[in-house]
Amino acid sequence: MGLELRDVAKRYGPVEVLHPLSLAVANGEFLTLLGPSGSGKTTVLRLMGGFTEASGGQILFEGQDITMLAANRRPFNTVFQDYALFPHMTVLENAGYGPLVQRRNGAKTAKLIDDTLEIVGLSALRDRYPAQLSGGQKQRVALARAIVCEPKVILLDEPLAALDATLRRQMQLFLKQIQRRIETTFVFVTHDQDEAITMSDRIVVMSQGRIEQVGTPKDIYFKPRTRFVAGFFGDNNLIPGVLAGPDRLQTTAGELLCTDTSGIRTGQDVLLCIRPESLKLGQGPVTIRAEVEEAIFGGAMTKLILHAVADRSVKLDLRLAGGQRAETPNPGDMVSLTYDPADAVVVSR
Amino acid sequence: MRSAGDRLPIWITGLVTGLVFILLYLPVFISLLFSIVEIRQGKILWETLSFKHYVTLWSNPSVMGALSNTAIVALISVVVATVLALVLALYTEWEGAIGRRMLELVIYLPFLLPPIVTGLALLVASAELGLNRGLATIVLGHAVFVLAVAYRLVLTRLQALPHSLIEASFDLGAGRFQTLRYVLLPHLASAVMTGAVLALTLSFDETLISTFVAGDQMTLPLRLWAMMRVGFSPEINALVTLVLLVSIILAIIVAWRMKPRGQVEEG
Repeated sequence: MGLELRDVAKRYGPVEVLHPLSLAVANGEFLTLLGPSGSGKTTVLRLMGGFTEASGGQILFEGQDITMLAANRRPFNTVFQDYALFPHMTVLENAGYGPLVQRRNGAKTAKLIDDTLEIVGLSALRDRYPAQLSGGQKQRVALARAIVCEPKVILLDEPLAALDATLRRQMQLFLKQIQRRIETTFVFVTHDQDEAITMSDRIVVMSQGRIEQVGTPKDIYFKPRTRFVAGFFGDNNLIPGVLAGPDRLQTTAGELLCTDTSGIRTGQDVLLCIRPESLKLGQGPVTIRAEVEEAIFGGAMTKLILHAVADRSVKLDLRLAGGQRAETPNPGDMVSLTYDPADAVVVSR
Repeated sequence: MRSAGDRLPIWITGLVTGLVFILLYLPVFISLLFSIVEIRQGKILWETLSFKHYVTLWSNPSVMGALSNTAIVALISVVVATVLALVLALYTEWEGAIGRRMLELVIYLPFLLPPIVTGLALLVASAELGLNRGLATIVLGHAVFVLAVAYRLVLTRLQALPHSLIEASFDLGAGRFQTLRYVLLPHLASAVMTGAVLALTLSFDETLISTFVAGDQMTLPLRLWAMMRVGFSPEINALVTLVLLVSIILAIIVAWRMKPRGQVEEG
């Protein structure tokens, strides 16, 4: 059952920030709302948390309509982007705020708070004030404060945005581990593709107040269904063309193949998407002749930037496994590229 | 090495600062001096050094009456103004507030208008309403006057509170009153206290509004005015010294409390 949005919309006056959308979050799932700023992902989270009133539609939890339920009555807790720790309370008092206002006390609650601080690794800092904590530590307090309430769903609003790269990676792993350990649904908002891919069970890609695609990280990464999703992850190769047959495309770089053309009609303008890591040097069922523009050594991988010989405007991006004795072409070299048609996908233009 | 020329600006600044201090505090010092020694033909008679004028003040019923009036007025008007300021600030910051601008104008106006206008308005109003002028009308006048200061301080602090803290409180299950008690009030406490002390200072030496609405009651500044009309006695100096002393102490408390206390955040 879990959490479900049915045709939920949000308007501010005439501005539609969220077009009616439906979404179901399964219990125990780690779901990520991913999109650039202004895509409506935070609005969805705030609607779930009860901080913003929906302009239309229904929000259900375990089959119950909670659309009009106030934030303090929903069995969800939020980890805010700025952590929102109470500055006049110690770590322990912050963590114990939920039980305090819910009038849950006694030895069992005290132990729950202790255990939670232990889980997030803050037991030693329990008497510190937020101002005396680092960003990562504040983040853990905010998480502990939510966990102590034993919510059914934890909503996380870009919780890692303020952390530096190293700490971010640590916290990504940490959050994932915590989520498995407490077996609670996490709805996570981020604009960072890598973060979404490494952490989520499913990703909801959003753009301009609409859901573009919902799927597992692998789906989203390898099988984009819209032009936006195809271009959103890394340096995808996007080759414009026209679908000429069930698996054939006419492009300026030549005739190319693609097995997965579901949902596209023959004659439609499309983009063929091939991930850089699916493109290989050599001959195969499909071959693209290309000229190397640049070869960038990147340690484990060498990145080749090329353009098709038949059409210089078709830029291609390819990853070669590194290694000391690996041979890499030089700029100006003519090479043949190939790919497995099953690894490519088309989206409408 | 620093040359003499480099130090010149420092000397000049020091000199100006010193002059300002002398100009500001010399009268205070003179009052203090005149209240404890006699001066005849420009000579300080050190052998007359005594605190007898303070004792006289202490035993002067009209001065003591005025003092107790001032204390009563200050305390009540400050409590009223502070509580009102808190409620009004919470209201104007509430997203559903209506007439916010109008309300703020009403709050600030008595403080911004010349006290003579505020005093006159209060006088007319109390006469029209049939209120007997006395301590109650003074309390009312002072409360209206100091409200603006207390309100501004509380409001500024309230606006500095990140909205996410209030949302976090609700999110964790708190109701409105719990949020007020556990999050808002602790956050506002020091601003409320500072506002109260500042209001106390203002009320303590407020004279003009009091003149209009006091009726037959006397506050300390009014008493002082009355005493000065009949001549300058050492008692007046003693009284002035006391008033100044209290004002300065309150001002120091306010300055100390309003000093930003920076907390260094670790990276």
